[in-house]
Amino acid sequence: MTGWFRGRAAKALLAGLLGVILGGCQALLPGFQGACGDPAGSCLLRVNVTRQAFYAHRPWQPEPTVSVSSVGAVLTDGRVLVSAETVADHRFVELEKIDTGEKCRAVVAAVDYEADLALVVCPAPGFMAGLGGVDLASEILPKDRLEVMQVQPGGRVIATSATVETVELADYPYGNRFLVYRLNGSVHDRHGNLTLPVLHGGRLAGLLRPDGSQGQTLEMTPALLVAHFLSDMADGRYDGFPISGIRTVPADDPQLRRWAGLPPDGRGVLIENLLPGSPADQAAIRPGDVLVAIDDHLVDSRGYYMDPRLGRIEIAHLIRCGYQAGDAVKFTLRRQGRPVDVLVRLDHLESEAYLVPPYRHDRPPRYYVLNGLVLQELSVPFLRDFGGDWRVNAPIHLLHYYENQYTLRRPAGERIVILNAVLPTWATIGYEQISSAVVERINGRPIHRLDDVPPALETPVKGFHRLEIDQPPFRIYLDAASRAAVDKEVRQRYNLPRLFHLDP
Amino acid sequence: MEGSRDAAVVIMKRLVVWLVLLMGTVSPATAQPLDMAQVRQALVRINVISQRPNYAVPWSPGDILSGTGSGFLIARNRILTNAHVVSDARMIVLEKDGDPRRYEARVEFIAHDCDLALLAVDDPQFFSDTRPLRLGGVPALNSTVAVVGYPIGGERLSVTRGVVSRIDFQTYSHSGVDAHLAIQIDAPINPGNSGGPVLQDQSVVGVAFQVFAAQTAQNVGYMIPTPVIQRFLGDVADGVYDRYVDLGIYSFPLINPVLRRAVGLAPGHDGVLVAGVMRASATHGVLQPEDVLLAIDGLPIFADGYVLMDGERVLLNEVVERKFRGDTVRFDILRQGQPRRVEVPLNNPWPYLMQARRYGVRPRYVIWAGIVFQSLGHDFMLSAQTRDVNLLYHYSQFLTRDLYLERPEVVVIGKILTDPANRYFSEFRHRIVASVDGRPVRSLEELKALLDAPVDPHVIGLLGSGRPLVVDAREAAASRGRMAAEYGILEDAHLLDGIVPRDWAAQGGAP
Repeated sequence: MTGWFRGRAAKALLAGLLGVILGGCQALLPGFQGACGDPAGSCLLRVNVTRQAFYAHRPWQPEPTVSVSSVGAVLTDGRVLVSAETVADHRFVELEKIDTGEKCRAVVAAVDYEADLALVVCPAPGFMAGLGGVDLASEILPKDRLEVMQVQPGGRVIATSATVETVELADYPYGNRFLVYRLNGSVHDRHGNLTLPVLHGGRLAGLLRPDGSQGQTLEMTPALLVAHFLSDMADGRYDGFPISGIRTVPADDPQLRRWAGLPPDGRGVLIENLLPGSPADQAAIRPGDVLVAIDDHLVDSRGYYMDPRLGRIEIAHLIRCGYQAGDAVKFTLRRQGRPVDVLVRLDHLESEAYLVPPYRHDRPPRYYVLNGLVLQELSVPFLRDFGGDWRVNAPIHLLHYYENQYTLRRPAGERIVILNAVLPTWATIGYEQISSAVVERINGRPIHRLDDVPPALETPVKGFHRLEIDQPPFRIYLDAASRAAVDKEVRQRYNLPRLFHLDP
Repeated sequence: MEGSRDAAVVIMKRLVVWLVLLMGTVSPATAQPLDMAQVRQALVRINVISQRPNYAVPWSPGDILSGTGSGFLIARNRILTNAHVVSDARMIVLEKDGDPRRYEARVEFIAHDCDLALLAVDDPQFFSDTRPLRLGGVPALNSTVAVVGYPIGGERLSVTRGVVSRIDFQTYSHSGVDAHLAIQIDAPINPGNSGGPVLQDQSVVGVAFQVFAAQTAQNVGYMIPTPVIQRFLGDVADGVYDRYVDLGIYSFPLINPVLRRAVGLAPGHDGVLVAGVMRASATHGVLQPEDVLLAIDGLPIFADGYVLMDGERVLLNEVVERKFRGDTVRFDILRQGQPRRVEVPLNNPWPYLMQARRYGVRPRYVIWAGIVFQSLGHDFMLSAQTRDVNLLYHYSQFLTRDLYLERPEVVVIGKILTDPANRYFSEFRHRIVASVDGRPVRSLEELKALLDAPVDPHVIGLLGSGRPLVVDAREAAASRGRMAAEYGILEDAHLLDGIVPRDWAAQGGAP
């Protein structure tokens, strides 16, 4: 039972569904200003959230509720920008005026868990009256002085100045890399707010990130990402930041270049591997190809290009922020020395498209309890539930799937189905120690996702349901005739609200 | 795995309620006082200078260590001690209590899988006033035993007392992968006690060898009981130590009523399930998954994997533990509901050794263009201290997922010795080598042969990567002299001491 009662991981803050638009609020504010003027607090609202997620290893079991808050920035159309982490797994969201404390029950209008951005709106008419909206700052460069907006519990607004030091790519949640502005400055007390708006000349420069801020260095999600987030949904549909699906390694080694037929011009980065089913994979790009240019942007041997405004920066920024999902982009390659042009239709890849989905928010986990055998799909939240040091503590065969998603050629949409644990009953006596076993087949039919389980159970073999798993005893037999009775018993004995949850 | 190995024992432990075994001779619970004069005539203090290979510098001679242990005469010129006391020894010097002289000893037989060794002394003077101790049986639970030895490096012998707390299968930490019968006692056992006799009624009932090293338990010491000692002496009787043999199967208790019915076991009948059969095992092709083992050598097998042997309940592997290389066991089985009798040959499935601590061997390596290619194994992993998922996967799943079928020897880039030939390779440390010049690499020998071939440039493919290591022939040749001059490397390879049997390697995989 070790797999069962182990401590829950430091809860991944975050998991979630991309781009759910619950209804826009496009009307301009009555007091539209375009900039956050004086008092500066007029464009700020506190966003209070009560959230509740589920234990990844006891998927029917909700975690205790947690209350968090952030300071959001009111945009000129009245929507309130805040980090996605703030609203992840929300059960209740409210907006609160920082001076009067007046509150409005709000809804999440859009969220992007990868870029960590969300929009919250107040449907009550009149609540937003008197508030100002803020425009996005157009161009923030190193050496610019910005103002981090802190809000004290009493409503007093304190602007702390911070200077832009560097602009580079950094790790965002769930293995994403996006642009980050590193600021020199310090915010001595966030007063419990996860994220704070950062202004420049009364315009929104970005959101101060909750993590990554150490000592005198603060990290900011820049307005550039916010602009992409907003323009993506302008057509009424949110697609998400696009990816190509390539993973690159430097091609600066002269021996490698000679062998690959590359001139010694310092151009071109080597594609080490590709995510199966990704746009680059669909465009028939191959591992070993050398990427020389994306549209008109030359790529150097370490995978950087010259951005007209930001300077030398990783191509991941160009791919993710320079285009929208669905854009066709020319990748100029060298394949075995010969130049090849490929048109790649960049697209956003949803969490569910990965072999091991990186996150899942705002919805209960999927599971299927079969006679007390708890079947689930492998995901990063599932792995994180092995504890803070999950990259070491999780079972190695499961980590192996996670680490090798780029090289295991599994069809898109396929998952690893795990027999996570056994809820003991007399029907499963002798099986109770099995945990973290991969389910390969049921009644001879391959299991590629949890959805394959119910149809496979329709055809028992010789009166048994036969599950093939990847560890001893390698097969489990259940009595087909008594399945319903045992299911009922499991449900009653362990007080399960339901035996399965297969909603996407 | 059924038998004497760690992986197996983990599985068995998880599934079987541990029962205390009481076996062999049962001694009276009231022990006679120890005749120390007689013990002195058999006991030796063993001083050892050993040399442990350093897997981070595989071409180096290794680190020189000194240690002490205990041992005792069991016959004329046969001194029994632990294998771990004399492993990798370069010099062994014996002392006797009350005798100021020193005697050089040599290892006659060493068994790393059961942590026992026999030493011999060439100096005839050593034998004056010596008398061997007699081997006894298995002491009773709760009976008193005395541990004699030279703990914590002391010059004079020490005696401690305790009672027999438990008798069961235990992992022998010297190899880390073998498990045999062991007796737990509550007498303090300390470093230096290793190899010393545990006595009861003037007879040896065990060899003190390891302690439970955890904060949760204190005064938990273990000794190797006489059935294991007798098997070792029996194995070496022909002049060669052949190691333990193993069934190489995964067994599973037939507790679940539906599982019992599915494999055709009638109500009231007993037996264990063959869940899987290792490809490297001699059992492969004889036993099949879903066979039910009903009896071993005529002894009925209970549903939990135990048999009744000499009047005591013991795990069925105890039957196999007493066998030797070339022996067979007879199983009564049920296959698809039909009773059968099969004769199962026994071998020692070699892939176990990948996860074993190894002694008396040098690290295998090939150094080419400053790249140190090494063989994945326990000692390599210990020195590499890596969390690399692919390395850990290949290491820990080597047996259970039959990874040895595709890669009998997993060739890893252990190190990059910076050199003009490999300037851009540093990030590829700890990657697994998949191919050279398009040909799969299944051993260091294959790797070396491919790299020695006149191909320019050589292209080394890494597992899971589209970025190969490309080395021009000219660069590789030039690096050779630099390796000697700058890193002091005189031998560019050590290809002895492998674990893959020659016939396995020659047939390119499963025999």
